[in-house]
Amino acid sequence: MSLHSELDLIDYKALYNEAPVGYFTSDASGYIVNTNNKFLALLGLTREEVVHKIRFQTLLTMGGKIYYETHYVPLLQMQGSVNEINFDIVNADKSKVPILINTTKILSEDGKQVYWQSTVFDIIQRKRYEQELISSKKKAEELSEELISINKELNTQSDIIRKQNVALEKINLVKDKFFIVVAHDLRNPLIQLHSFVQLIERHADILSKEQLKEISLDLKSSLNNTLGLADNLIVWARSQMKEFSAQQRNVNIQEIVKHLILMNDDFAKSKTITLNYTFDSTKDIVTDRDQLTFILRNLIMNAIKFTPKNGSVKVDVFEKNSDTITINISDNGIGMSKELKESLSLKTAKNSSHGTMGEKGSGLGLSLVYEFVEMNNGTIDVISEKDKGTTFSVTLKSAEPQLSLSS
Amino acid sequence: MTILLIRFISIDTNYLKGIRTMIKKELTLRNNIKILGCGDKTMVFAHGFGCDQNMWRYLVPAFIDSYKIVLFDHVGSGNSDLNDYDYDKYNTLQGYADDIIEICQELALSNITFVGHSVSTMIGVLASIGAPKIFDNIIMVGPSASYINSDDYIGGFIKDDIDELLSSMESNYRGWSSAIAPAMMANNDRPELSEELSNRFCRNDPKIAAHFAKVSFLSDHRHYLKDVHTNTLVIQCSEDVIAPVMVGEFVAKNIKSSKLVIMNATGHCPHLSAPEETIDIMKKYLGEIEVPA
Repeated sequence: MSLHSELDLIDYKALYNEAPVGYFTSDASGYIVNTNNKFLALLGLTREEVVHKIRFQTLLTMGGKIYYETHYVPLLQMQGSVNEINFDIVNADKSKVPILINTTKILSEDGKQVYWQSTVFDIIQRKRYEQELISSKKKAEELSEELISINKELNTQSDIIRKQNVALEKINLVKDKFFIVVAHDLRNPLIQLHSFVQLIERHADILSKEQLKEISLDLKSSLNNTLGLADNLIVWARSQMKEFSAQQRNVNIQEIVKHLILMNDDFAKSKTITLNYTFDSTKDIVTDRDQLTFILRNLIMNAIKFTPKNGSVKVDVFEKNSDTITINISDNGIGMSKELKESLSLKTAKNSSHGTMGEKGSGLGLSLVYEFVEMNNGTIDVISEKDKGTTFSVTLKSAEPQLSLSS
Repeated sequence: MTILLIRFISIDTNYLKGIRTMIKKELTLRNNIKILGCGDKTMVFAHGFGCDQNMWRYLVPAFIDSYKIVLFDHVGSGNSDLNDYDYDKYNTLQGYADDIIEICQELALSNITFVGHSVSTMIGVLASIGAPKIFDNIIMVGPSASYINSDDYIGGFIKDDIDELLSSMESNYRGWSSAIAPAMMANNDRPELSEELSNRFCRNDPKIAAHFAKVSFLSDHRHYLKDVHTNTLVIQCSEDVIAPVMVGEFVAKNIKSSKLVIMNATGHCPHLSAPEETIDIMKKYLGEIEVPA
């Protein structure tokens, strides 16, 4: 039997019905007018339930229906055919079956009616595989996004570390320089002390009482200076360890000024400098008591230090504004150079400068003065002219005048 | 002095003309604008979601003798310049409406008949409210002012349906998105390639199409309808899943000077499935065919 005659035996009707692929024909409005067993099996419906009763688009999910109307139909109308469109069909069990559909427009024999001929493949396995692929792709995308964000984070952190390193190196350099200055400054008064003691040791017999008194006065003022430096060092070290926070309370400014003047009386006398004060306000100041004492002690000692013999140093307390108290510490001493004045607010330890009788300073005091004024929300200004004198002006918040409840 | 001044002015106008053509060219590229016919009146066609200006192919020949026809693709669709797709601008339909006003102004169009399909009907609503003088008529094919059901309104869908649409779009783009896109790009040089490709019309960028779908189907323009003062024709299919009859009736009822025609045709694209009936309804409305008493 030839191949040709074998083909003649094929029952085309059976081929259509039993083909391993879904077939259906629909009219222009989507009604299914003919279909095969494979498609019916996919739907889980009988021929009677489907033919002339169901429109293809009603078998789709809601989203699928929109896709059908906005994509599939326009394409079919314009191209005459559509291939490989994926829909989900909702079958009799209400479960979704993913399909691929190919559709071609055909005309009835008389050429008057338009029909659509479709083949339907169920792609359950393929779809599952596809979904697995999609989810792993999504996971990969998420991971890569996570990686990107971790990388970014790492970059910012290493940036921060780099910046911190630079800052640390800078600070270290400043400290090194500062230690040299301090060591140098501490050594000088000790040498002075050493020579005083040597003088007494060698010439005790020939020194008069007055001479001894004079020497001890000098010795005392030199020791005072050194003590001041040591105090400042301790305060500075604590401030570097961030031990300080301003403990603001009402502070009686008159008390502090009077105490400081008394403390520095000998020092001023040793240079025959007159030390005066005036009070134009009775208000308290809201500030940290120890820090204010530090500020004023340093400014007063500096003023004496940088004023030649027979000069004068003055402390004036007054109200510049209704809610602040200003303390002016003025001298008629050697004044400051423009460079020194400009470097004051930089808050770093400065090079020491000599007082008028060779007193030593590390520049540490002033830098802390500026820092403490800032910590207490105050302001500090300086007016200085070479060889005419200097006035430091510290302004801090004043306390509300207290009603005296007890006498 | 006078001569100099005149010369200066003439240079200036030439310069302005240059800028004007430049803008026109930019807009032409942005929206892939095509102008056909040379009638006194103008008809502007705006395609809906899912396709491009190709979907007007069966209507255009019927109007080309009496109208200047303006076709375009919304930015993000068809052959528009995808680089111009700004997710903020097109996050509401107002972005598309602004484009239409801009196109009409640049082309110096007025007294237009605006034909919009599906979501473009609401784009037309917004444009006509923004620049009413440009519009003579609005013809709406399958309009819906809101697709999502609410307490007192049936739009036909719930939000989950739109998510389902997005996943349906995604699965159908996947097939060609990366593999076939390069061939698509080469269409112009090698037309034989495009012949090999099925589904060659209405290809849109997947990400943009998903955004457009969300903006289109999740928007609610019901409260704009009362502000439309342009004469409006609502063409409604007798059965339309996307815009059911009651949705079309709602639109017609809420626009003051409107007329509703319910077609024999079914589906959402009568201009493709039943162009003759659509043309007939449009021509009757525009007074080009005598309406038998």
